[in-house]
Amino acid sequence: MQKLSILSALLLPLLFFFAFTKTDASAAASSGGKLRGIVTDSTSGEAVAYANVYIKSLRLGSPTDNKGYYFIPAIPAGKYKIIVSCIGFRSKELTAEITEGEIKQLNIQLIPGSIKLEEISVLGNKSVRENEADLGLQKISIKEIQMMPTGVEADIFKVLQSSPGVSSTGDVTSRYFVRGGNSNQNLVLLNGVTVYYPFHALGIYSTIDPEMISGMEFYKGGFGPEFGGRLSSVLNVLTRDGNKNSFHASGTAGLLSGKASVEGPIPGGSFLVTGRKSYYARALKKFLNDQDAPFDFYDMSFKVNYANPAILYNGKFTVHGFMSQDMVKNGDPFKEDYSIKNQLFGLNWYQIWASPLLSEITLSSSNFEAEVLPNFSQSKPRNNFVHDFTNRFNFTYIYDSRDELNFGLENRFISTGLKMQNLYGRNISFDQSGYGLTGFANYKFYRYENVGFNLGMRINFASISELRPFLLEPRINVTYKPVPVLALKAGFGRYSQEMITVSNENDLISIFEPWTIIQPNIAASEATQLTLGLSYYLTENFSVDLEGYYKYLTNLSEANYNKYFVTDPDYINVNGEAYGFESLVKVQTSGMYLKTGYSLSWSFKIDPKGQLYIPKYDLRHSLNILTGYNLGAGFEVNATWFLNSGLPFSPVTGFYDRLNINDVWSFQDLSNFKASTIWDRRNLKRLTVYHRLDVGMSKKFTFGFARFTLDASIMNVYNRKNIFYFDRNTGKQVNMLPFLPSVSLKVEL
Amino acid sequence: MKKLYILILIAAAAFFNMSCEESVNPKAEFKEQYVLSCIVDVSSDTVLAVISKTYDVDGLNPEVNKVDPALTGAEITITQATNTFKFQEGERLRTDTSRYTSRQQYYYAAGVKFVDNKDLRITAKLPNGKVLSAVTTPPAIPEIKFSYEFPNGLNPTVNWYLAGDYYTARWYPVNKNHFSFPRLTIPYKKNVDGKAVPLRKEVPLSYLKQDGKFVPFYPGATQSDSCSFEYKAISSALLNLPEGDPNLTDYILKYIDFELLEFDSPLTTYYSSTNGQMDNFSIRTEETVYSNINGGLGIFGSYRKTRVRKQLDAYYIRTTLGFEWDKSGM
Repeated sequence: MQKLSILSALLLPLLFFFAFTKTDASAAASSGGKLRGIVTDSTSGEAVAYANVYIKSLRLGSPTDNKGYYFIPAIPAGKYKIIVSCIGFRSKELTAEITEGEIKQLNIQLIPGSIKLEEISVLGNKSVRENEADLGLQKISIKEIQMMPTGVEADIFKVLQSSPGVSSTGDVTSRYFVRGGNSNQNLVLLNGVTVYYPFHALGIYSTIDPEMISGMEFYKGGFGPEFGGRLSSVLNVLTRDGNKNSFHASGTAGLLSGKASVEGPIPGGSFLVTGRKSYYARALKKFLNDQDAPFDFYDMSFKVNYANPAILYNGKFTVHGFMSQDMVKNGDPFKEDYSIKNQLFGLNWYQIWASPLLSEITLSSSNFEAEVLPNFSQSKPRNNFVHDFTNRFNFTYIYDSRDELNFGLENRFISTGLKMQNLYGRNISFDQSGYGLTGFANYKFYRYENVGFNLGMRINFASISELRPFLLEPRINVTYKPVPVLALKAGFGRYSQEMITVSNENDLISIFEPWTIIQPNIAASEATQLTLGLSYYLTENFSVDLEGYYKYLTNLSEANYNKYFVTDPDYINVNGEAYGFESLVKVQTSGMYLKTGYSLSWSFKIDPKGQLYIPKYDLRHSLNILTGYNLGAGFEVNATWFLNSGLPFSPVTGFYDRLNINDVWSFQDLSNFKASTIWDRRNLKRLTVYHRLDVGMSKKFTFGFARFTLDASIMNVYNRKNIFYFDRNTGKQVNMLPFLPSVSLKVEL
Repeated sequence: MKKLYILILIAAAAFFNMSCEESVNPKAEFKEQYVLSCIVDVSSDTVLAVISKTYDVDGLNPEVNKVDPALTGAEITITQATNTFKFQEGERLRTDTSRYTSRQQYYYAAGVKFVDNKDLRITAKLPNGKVLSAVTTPPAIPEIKFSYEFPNGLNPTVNWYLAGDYYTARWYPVNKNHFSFPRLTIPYKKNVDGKAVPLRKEVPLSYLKQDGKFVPFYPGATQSDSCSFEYKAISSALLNLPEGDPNLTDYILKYIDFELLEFDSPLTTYYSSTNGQMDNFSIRTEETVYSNINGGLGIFGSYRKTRVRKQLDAYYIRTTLGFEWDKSGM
C-alpha cells in the first residue's frame, strides 16, 4: 500500500500535467484572445500580489496571485484600456491590443505611493473578481502591517489579532485563537513551508520579521482543499524576492533587537538576506511580570530567485531558507536552560506554461527542536523534535470560460519525537513517523457574472497517523451577487488534524509546546464548519463584511493534565463547538484608513466525563478599531483600540490546609500544613472588560544618501490595568502590559 | 480633516483614561469540604492523621485565616487484610504558631503492624455522618547494593582503578510510579563541654560551580534505580565536617549511612503536585493538588525508609583527617 501510494504520488502530477498542458497551437485555437503577465514594483522589481488588472470597457479583470501573476481569458479581439491598481501603489492605465487566438503577455510595473497611505486603488478594497468565493479569506499586504503601531517589536501576529474572529489570551502573547479553535489548530506557512513554532521569547513575538515579507493570506475558516492538516486557520506568509534593480541594505535598531537586511540583483534574478538578533532582553521585563529572563534569540532568512527567459520562458526558481532560535541560558547549574529551533528550507519552481496552465513544484523541509534542560533545578526535563519533509505539486488551469481548476498532490514524511516529564513526575515518551499522501482538486466557477463557486475536495490517500477520521474532505464555497454592491457568501468544509501539541490550556505563557503525530490509539481530530456571509460595498472605498459560522470539533486530543500514574493515558479526547458572528467595516480615503472589526462568539468544550466548559480563549465580544492617517511631510500616525469581554477564569471556591512536604525526611509528624486554594469549575467566571489604545507615529526623512524611518509608539496609552491573571499562590492580581513607549530607527541605503 | 482626526484620538485617550481600573471578584460561592491527611511509615508502630474543614477568608490570601479548621470527633480506622486499627484523638503544642495558636488536634493509632504488599485502607466517619476513605499500597522492601565494597571501610581517596569516581548505590525493585529519595549521611558526635552530642551531616552528590563558588548539590526525588556520589564530594564533606573548628579530635565518627526513602504511588503524585514545577517561566493559572481521598480532599499515603550502614576506614578517619574514631559504635 505504501509503495502504491508513493508511486501514485510521483505519477499523478505528471498525468495531470500532460492532460492540461497545451501546445501553443492548441492554445491559439481557443476563442478570443488572452491577456496575462506579471505586475511588479517599478522600484524593486518585486512582484505585486493582490493587484487588480481590469479592462473597464468589458468589465473584465483578474487579481494578481501571490506571485504577481494575472490572467484574463476570452477577451474579444481589439484595443483596450487596462487599469492596474493596488493599495500602496499609484494606479496605472495602459493600452493593450488583443488578437484573436493569441496570448498577449503584458508585464506591468507599478510605482509605489511615496508614503503608505497616499495612493488608493481604483477599486479600493474590492477585488476585481467580484464573484470570487473567498469567504473567510483576508489578504494582508505589508502596507497594512505597517499601519499598526509597532510596539516594542513589529509583529505580524498582532495584525491578525486585530481581525474579527481572532482572539488572544493577553497582550503579552502573540498566540492567537481563531473562531473557537485552539492555537495549535492554526497552520503557519512561510512560502508554503510549515513553521512549527513561529514565536520568539515565550510566545511574546512572532519569529517572522515583517521586514522580510511581502504579504500574508489569512484564512479564518473555509480554506480551500490545497491546505490541510489543521482545523481552524491557515496563515500563508510570503517573503519578498529582493530588489531586482539595485543593491540595498537596511538596518533597524529597536529597544529589544537589531535587524539588518541586504538585497539586490543577481544575473537573472535577485536575492534577499535578513537577520534579527535580540540584544536587550530586559525590554521584555514588562511582559514577564517584572521577571528577568536572559533571553537570547535570533532569526534569519534568505531567498534567491532566478528567472532566465533564455533557459525557461516564464519560469522562476526560488531557493529560500529560514532559521530561528530562542535560548535561555541562565549560566547557573541550579536553573533550567531552554532552546527552541526552527530550520526551514525550500525549493520552488513556478512556471507559466504556453497554455493557460500554471504549475508550482515545491520541495521543502521544516525541522523543529525544543529542549528544556533542567540542569540541577527542580524543572522537568523535556525535549521534542519534528522533521517534516514535504513536496507539493500544484497546478492551476484557466479555462476560456474563466473557470479555474486547481489540483495537486502533497507528499509528507514526518517524524516526531517527544520525551517529557509532567508535573506529577510521570514520563511521557513517544516517537512516531508517518507518510501522508494527499491529493486535492478545486474547481472554481467564474463563468457566471453574478455567481462564483468553488467545489473542492481533499483526498487523503495515506495518512500520517493511524486512525485518520475520513478519506474525503469536501470544501465548498459559494458567492452570489444579486446586485453589484452586494455579495452573499456561503462555505462548508471538513477538516482533519494529525499533528498536535502537548500543551496545557491553562498555561498563559509556556516555554515548551511540543509537536507530535497523534498517537496510534487515538483518532485524529476533525472539524466541520459552515459559514454564511455577505459583503456590501457602499462605495468603492467603503465596505462592510458580515460573517456567521458554526464549527463542530471532535476528537480534540488534549494532554492529560491529570496523568497521575504511569498507566494513565497521555491524552484525552475532547469534543468542541463554536459559533459566532463577525463584522468588518473598512473605510479608505485619500490619506486615511479605518478598519473596524467586531465579533460575537461562543465556544465550548466537552470533556470525557461529559462536563461542558468554556476554553480559556473564549471571547464573547471583541471590537477592534485600526486607523492610520497621513499628515504629510513624511509624517504618518496610526492607532488601534481593542475592546474585549473579559477572558474566562476559574474562580476560587475556598481554601484548605494541605500537608506540606518541604523536607521529605521530616514531614511525618503532620505538623506542617500549608494553606491552599480550591478552584471551582473550570473557567466559570470572566475577568473585567479589556481595553487598550496603542498609538504610533512614523517619520520618513532623507539624510545624505540614506533614508531614515523613525517609528515611535506607545502601547496602552491610558495605562489601563487589564487583568492578566490572579496568581494561584498569592491571589495577587497580575496585570497585562502597562503604558509602554518604544522607539525604533530604520536606515536604508 | 487632519485636525479633526488628531482631536478624535486625543479625546478617545482622555475618555478611556477616566476609567482605567475595575475590579472583579475572583471568588465563587464557598463550598465546605473535609480534608483528611494521613501518612503511614510502614516500619513504624504509630500512625498519625489530621482532619480539617475547608474555609473562606476575605480576599484571596488564605494565610489571614486564624481559626483552626481542625475537626474532632471523627471515627478513624485503618485496615490491612483482616487487621483493623482504631485511631484515638490527641492534641499537642504546635511547632508553627504563625497562623493558629491553639494546640494542634490530631488522631493516632498506636501499636500498628503492617505486612508487605497488602493494601491499606483508611476510613474516617465524621460527626455529621460523612465518610472519607482512601486506599494505598505500601512500597516493597528494597535490596540495596553498592558499586564497591571496601574491605577496610569506606575511604573516598581510594585508588579509582578499584572503585571508580563514584560511590553508587543501586536498589531493586523499582516502581515507576514511586519517587525514591536517597541520601548519604555521616553520623558523628561532637564533644561540647565534655558531652558527646550526636549530629548528622549530609553528603552531596557533587559540588557545582555557581557564581564562581562551589556549592553542594544534594540528591532529590528520583525514579531511577541508583544514585552516585562523587568520592571527591564524600571526601569534601568529611573534610569540612568541623567547619573551620581546629579541634579535630572533638569529632568522633565511625560510619556512613545510606538511606532510601520510597514513597508509594499516591504520596509520590501528591508530593509532585505540591512540590514540582514545570519551569520558572511558564505561567499556569490553576493547578489541582492531587488528592486520593474519596468524599473529600487530602492525602493518604505510605512510605518506607531503609538504612544501610557502612563503616568508614579507621586509618583514613584518624590519620588523614585527624578525627577521633568512635570505639563505642553508634
